[in-house]
Amino acid sequence: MSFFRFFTDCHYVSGSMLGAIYDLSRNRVISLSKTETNIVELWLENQEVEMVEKNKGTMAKELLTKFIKEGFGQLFDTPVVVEPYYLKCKYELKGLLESPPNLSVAYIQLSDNCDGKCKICKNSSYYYWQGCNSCIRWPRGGQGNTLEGKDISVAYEHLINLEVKTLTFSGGNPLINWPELVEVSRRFRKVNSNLNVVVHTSGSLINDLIVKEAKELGITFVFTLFGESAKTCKKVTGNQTLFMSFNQAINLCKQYGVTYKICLMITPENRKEFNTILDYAEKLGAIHIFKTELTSHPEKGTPFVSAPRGQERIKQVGILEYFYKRDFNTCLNRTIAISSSGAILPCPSWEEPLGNISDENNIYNVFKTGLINEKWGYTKDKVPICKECEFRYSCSDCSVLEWALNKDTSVKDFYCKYKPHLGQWSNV
Amino acid sequence: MKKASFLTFYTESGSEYLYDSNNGAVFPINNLIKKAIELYKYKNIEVVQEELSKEFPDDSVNGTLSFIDRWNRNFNGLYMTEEESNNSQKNLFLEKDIQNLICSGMLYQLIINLTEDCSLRCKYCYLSETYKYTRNRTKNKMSFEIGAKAIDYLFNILGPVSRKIPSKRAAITFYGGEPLLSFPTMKKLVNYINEKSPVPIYYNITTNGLHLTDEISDFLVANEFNILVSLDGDKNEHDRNRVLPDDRGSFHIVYKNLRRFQERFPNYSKILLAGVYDYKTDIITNVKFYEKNKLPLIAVLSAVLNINTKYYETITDEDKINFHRQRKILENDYFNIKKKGGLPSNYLRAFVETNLIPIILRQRIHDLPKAFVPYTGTCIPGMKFSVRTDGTFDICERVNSTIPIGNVETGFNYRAINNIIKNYNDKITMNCHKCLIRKICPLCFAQCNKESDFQLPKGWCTMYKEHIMKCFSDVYSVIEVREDAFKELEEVTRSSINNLLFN
Repeated sequence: MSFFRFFTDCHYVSGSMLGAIYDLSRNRVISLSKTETNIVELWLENQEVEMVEKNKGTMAKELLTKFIKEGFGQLFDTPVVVEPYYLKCKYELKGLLESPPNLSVAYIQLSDNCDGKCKICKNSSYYYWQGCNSCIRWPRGGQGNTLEGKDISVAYEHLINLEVKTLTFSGGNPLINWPELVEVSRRFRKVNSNLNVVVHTSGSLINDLIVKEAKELGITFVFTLFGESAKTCKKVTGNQTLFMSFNQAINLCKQYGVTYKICLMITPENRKEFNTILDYAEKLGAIHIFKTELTSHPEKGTPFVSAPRGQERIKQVGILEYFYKRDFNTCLNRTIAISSSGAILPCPSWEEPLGNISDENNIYNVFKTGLINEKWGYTKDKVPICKECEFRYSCSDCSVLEWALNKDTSVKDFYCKYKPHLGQWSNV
Repeated sequence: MKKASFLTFYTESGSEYLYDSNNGAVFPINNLIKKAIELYKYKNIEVVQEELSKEFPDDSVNGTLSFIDRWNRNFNGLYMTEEESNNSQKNLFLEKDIQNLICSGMLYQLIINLTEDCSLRCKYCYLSETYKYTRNRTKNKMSFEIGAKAIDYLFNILGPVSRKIPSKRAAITFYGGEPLLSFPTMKKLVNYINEKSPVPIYYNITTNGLHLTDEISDFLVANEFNILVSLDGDKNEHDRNRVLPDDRGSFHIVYKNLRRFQERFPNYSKILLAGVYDYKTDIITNVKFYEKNKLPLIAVLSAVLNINTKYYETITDEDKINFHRQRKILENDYFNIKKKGGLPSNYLRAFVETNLIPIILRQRIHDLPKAFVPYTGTCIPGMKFSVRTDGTFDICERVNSTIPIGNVETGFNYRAINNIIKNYNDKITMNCHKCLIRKICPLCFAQCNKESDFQLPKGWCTMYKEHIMKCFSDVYSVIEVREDAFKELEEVTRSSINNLLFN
């Protein structure tokens, strides 16, 4: 009579149909078939391996041999208990013994004005995949708002007190407000000389002076690229000149040695050219290439081309990453966004504000009441459909789409082909 | 050769488990795992593999060795190198480091000793002649001005902290003697705190329950106090030690006041009980008493402190035998109820679970040791502080008066704190780095505090190690039958820690 148990560093995670083994020490996720899942669950329900073998036949025997050989677990004479190992004792110190929130990124929209007038920013029905990396206007639409007045000063004071590590200025086009952007950056730098400053822009309005100042302040640009040619670019934005200003911006950064990244903006209009646009971007010497993709309601079922949708979504997670994903939304954690109307959002693409810098729910109180922590802790365990998936701790996040699943579960099809209730990757 | 850094224990089913002292993991071991761990201490993996293959199937050996090797590499599991076992606490910190830590958000509690007077003459009171080195009962009372200065000092630190940690909270505990003998001062101080505090405050009071009048109860409830009332058990048990100045028992007054409070505030959940027991306590009768009477929950149940006292000289061997017999019966009752998924009664839970909490909430590899005092469960002086009636600061209300850490006029004396910590590390924790229960040990300043110095309680390490391994065995014997048996305890404890129901 013997009982199979996983070793403490091999976590078995069950989905609604199948299970997976997270072999943490060896950075592996092993997905199980339906029969394998069934066998494992019988073992874990304290059924003797001999009995399982009797009922499930050679498959059970083979699986047991494989698991023992590969070091996933061992046999015991009694139904012992194995607690999956956690890196920390499972209690959070809150209130009395709370640690600083360790705010990593604050997105600031100085204004939602943009010289681009792109048609994609006028379409408020789009779903964004990782819109936070692009120059797209947020929240949807844009009202011509500008952050100004004494409330901003208080908001900046809050962010300084919270010891934010990175300020990301995002649009509209923050270059319209360049002098203010420089002033704000300097103000923060006075307190934290290691502050990172990032600017998301289409590149339009950039000039030598801006790039020189960016160099002096150590600013990193993220330029949004709409197409590999002026023609594709126009197709997406309706704007003739953005392709030229993008290239000019890249050249100026190269000339002055300013760090830059590129964000590919993929929409229904340029979806077919995705690979060509990616090829084009890869030749431009950026230190990183992001991908943002937009899709609209009528296209339900038309999936993203730039986002990993298939089995490539499932990363081989290591120890730290696995526990991080269990505890936090990897996209939202330690992030906050302040829109040009003063709205406080968990991320730029998020629609529902947590508060406003001008009212009682200001930045300080959003932290004090724990509203922000609820969002930071919006793990896959809380996301409709995803919470039923055995790969939920090895998958990536885009919180806006995850949140959208609360209203419309078909949104998942845009970015993930896996059907946890069937245990199948769909072909769509 | 590596040194073992684990302990093993058996459950009732005969299964053997290993507690990994390096990372806090507990997992079962079979004969193969046990032998492999032993051999791997002093032989390389190929040799171990060869030796074990003579006795066990190759696949099992390979898989097990893979686990042991990766567990050691990734989680620092199972072994301690020679270097680690010689690497004792070095006390490499400065007064400034301590100050920075305290002022960066670590400070969370002020304990205000409103008066050194008390309306009871409890025979085990550690603030009486029963104990050496602690202050005795006097008529001294704290003035409002002294109290306000202590509060100002707390708030001066908390103000900047609250801007960096918006959800920061703090606790203020009123203590004595009997704090309600100074109710007018306390009331003024609470109003002062409510007006000035930069952070939300949890109020606590520890009282003998004699003065819980309607007026006082209304005030405590209005300010959402956590009220901890001392009640040792039924009339016989309570009155054995908790007596009035004329030696009459105090049970009838406390009980009446508790009942009145419960009648007036039936839904107030922040009133809880604290009990004390010794070898003469009839704990079985106490369990029945609390089962029969619908009293508030017991938050704290502790044994009479056995340090610097002659109190225990009155205890006979027969008392001890009787107590241990009763304890065994109660523990059996408790664990049987847990195995069946039931909820043990109030006193029974408090009596047994106090011992289980260090196991349930034991540290793991990423629970970093406390700065400066990495071993034992002690606080860092200045995380909390207690203020005497004359304005002197102590580490807490339970240490004796020989190691003050500042006063209301000049604030914390960081040099004194520095010296106390270094002295504690030198005298108490110098060998803890190689102790196998170093992540669980709850020892603190108060338990080691002699006159201006620290001394390890006699036999502590051996005694506590045995005790904790028995607790491991008890807990895992239950978990084997019912895996979620301690989830509720985990939740309750987590919540109490965060809300600091009581110090």
